[in-house]
Amino acid sequence: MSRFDVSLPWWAWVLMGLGLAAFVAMVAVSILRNRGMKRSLFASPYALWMILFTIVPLVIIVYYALTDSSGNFTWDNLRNFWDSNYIRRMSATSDAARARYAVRGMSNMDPLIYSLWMAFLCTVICLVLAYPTALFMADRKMKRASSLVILFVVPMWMNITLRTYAMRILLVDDGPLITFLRLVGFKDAQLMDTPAAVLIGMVYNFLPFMIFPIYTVLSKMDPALQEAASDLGANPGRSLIKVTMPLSIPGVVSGITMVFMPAVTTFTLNVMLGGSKRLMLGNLIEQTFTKQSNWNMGSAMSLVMMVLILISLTILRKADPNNEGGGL
Amino acid sequence: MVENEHLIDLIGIGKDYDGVTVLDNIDLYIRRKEFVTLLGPSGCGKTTTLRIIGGFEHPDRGQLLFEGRDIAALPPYKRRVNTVFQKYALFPHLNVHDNIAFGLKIKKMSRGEIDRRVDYMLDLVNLEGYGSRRVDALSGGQQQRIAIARSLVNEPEVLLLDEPLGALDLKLRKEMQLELKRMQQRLGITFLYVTHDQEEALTMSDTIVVMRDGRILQIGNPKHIYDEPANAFVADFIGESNILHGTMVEDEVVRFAGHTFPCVDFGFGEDAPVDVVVRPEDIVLVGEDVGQITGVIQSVLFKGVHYEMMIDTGEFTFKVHSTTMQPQGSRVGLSIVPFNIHIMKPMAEEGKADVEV
Repeated sequence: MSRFDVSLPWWAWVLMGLGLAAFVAMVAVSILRNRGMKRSLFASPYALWMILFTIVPLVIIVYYALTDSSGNFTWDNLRNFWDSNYIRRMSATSDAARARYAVRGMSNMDPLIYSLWMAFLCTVICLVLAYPTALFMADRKMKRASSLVILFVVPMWMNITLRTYAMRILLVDDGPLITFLRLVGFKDAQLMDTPAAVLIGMVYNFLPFMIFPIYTVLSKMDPALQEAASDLGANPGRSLIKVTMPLSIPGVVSGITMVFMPAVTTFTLNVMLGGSKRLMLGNLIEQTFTKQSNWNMGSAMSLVMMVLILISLTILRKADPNNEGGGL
Repeated sequence: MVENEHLIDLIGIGKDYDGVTVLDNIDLYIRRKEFVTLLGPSGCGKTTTLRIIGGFEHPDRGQLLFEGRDIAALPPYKRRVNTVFQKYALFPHLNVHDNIAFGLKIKKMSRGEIDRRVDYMLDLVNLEGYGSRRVDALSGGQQQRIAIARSLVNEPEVLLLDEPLGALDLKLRKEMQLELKRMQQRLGITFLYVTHDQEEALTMSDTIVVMRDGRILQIGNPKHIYDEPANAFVADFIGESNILHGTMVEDEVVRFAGHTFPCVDFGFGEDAPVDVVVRPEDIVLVGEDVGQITGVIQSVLFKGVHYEMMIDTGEFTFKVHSTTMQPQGSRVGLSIVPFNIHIMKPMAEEGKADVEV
C-alpha cells in the first residue's frame, strides 16, 4: 500500500466537495450582494473554513480509527491501544529502537504515560519559571519591559528545528554545559539522549507560551488593586498571594493549556534530543503512520490523545469560566 | 513647634515627575477629627498630596509627620490611614464580606470578631445582608459604600478619599455627601477628601484647602473661603463670580467698571491695581435712577431658585442672580453694598480666572 493512497469513503469526498462548493459560492455571494446581506452571513466563510479543515479531518480520523485496513467497522484499534504488549511490540518496529531495547530492555512506562509525565513536568517547570518572569515584566516600575518582551518573542520567530539543533550544540558530550559540569566534578555527566535533554528542550521551546498569557493578565490588572491591598495592611508577599495570584489564574490556565498541549504531542524534540530511546506518544503515532503505514491504528492513537486533551481542557476551563486568559 | 492636636503635618512637601514640579512647598496640617477637603482643578496636585499621605508616592522634598513622627519612609501597609480609591478598587475575586474582611484577616483577627465587625460596617453603609454578593453585581453607589466600609472597618486614624463620588449621578452624590458627613461625625475619624467639585467641598468640609498648579492658594473654613477668597482664582473656582480689574483709589474707595464704589478694604495703597470680585447674588437690582451704575439686560435664564441675568453696563457685563425677573432689553440700576465688594491683590500669573473677565 502506497503511503499516499488516500482511500476515503465516498461520503467523505462528497462532504468535502460540498463544503468547497458552498465556500466558493458564499464568497461569490458576499462579494456580489454585499449590501443586502444579513450580518450572520459574514461568518459563513469562517464556518465553512472550520468545516473544511477541522470537522472533515476529524471525521476522517474517527473513520480510520473505527475501521480495519479493508474498511470494515471494528473496535480493535482502540482496544489494542490499551494493550501494553501491543504498544511494546509496535514501539520496537524501528530497527534502531528495537536494537536498543534488546540491549537495555523495554521501559515499563507506556509512551502515553511517559508523554503525559514529561508534559506535566514541562508544564510545572515552565510555570515556576514563567510566573516570576511575567511578574517582573509586568512591574510598572520596569521601564524596559518592552525590550524584555522582545527578548522572549524573537526566539519564537525561529524555526523549532533550528532552535533544537542549537540546543544540541549546548547539550552534546563535548559541549559547553557538559564540559562545565565535568569540570566542577560531575565526571559522568551526560545530557544528550536522556529524558533530561528532552525536558530542557521542551521547557526552552514552550516557556514563552506560558509567560505571555500570564504577562498579559498581570499587565492588564488595575494597579489600584495592589495599592488597595497594601493600603489594607498587606505587605508585598501577602498582596501577591491574596490579590495578584488569584486574579492571574485565567492567565495561568491559558498558559498551562498552551504549554501542555504541544508538550504532550511533541515528537521532534524526543527524536533530536532524546535519541528516541524512550518513545513518546507523538513518536509512536508518527511511526505508526510512516514506518508501518497503519493509518487505522495511528488514527486510533490520535483519537485517544485528542480525547485526553479535551478532558484536560474541560477541567481547566472550570478554573477560567469567563475565558479571561484568552486561551483556546 | 508641632501642636499636639495636629494629626498630620506636611512641611514643605515637594514632588517632581520627570523634572516637572507637581507639588511645590506644600505646608498643611490636619487636626484630629477634622474633615479636610483638598479642592482644585485636575492637575493641581490634590491627588498626589493624598497619595503621599497614603504612602503610594514618595515626596522628593519636605517632611510628612504623623503625630509628630516622620512617616515618609513607611510603606502604605504600615500606615494607620486607609484610602477609598477613585474607582473603588474592590477585589473582583472576593465577595462583599471578604472584601470588607480583607484588612481584618491580615491582622489575623478571629473569625467571629471579623464577622461581627463586617456586619456592623454593612449596617453602617445600609447594605445589611449583602455579604455574599459578588462585588461586580453591585451598582456604582453600592460599590462605593463597600469601598468605604472596607476602609473604615480597619478603624484608621485618617480616611483618605480620592474623588469617591465622581462616578455617581447627581442625586446619589448629594445623598452620599450627607451620608459621608454623618459617618464622619458618628465615628469621629479624620477625613481627608479630594474633589474638584466646589459645592461638595462647601457642603461637607470643616476646612477647605484650595490648590492650583501644585500650590496651596488658600486654607480656611467654607464660609471664609467663599466670603473672603484670597485671590481671583479662588473666587472664580468657589461659586460664581464677577471678576474685574480695578484700581484702589484710596482706602475704602475702589474704581471699577467705570464707576467709583465705596468698599471696606484698605491697605492697598493709592491708585494700586487690584482684582475686584463681586458675587452674582450680591448685586442688587434697583430702579434706573437710584443704581450706582446702570445697564441693559442682555439675557435672562431661569435657574430654579433664581434668575441669572447678564447685564451690560457698557464697561463690563455683570452676571446677576435675582429672585425677581426683569424683562430682557430693559435698563436697570445696579447697586452693591460696600461689604460685598471683595478686593484682592492681582494674581501674578495669567490664569483661568483672567480669561473670563
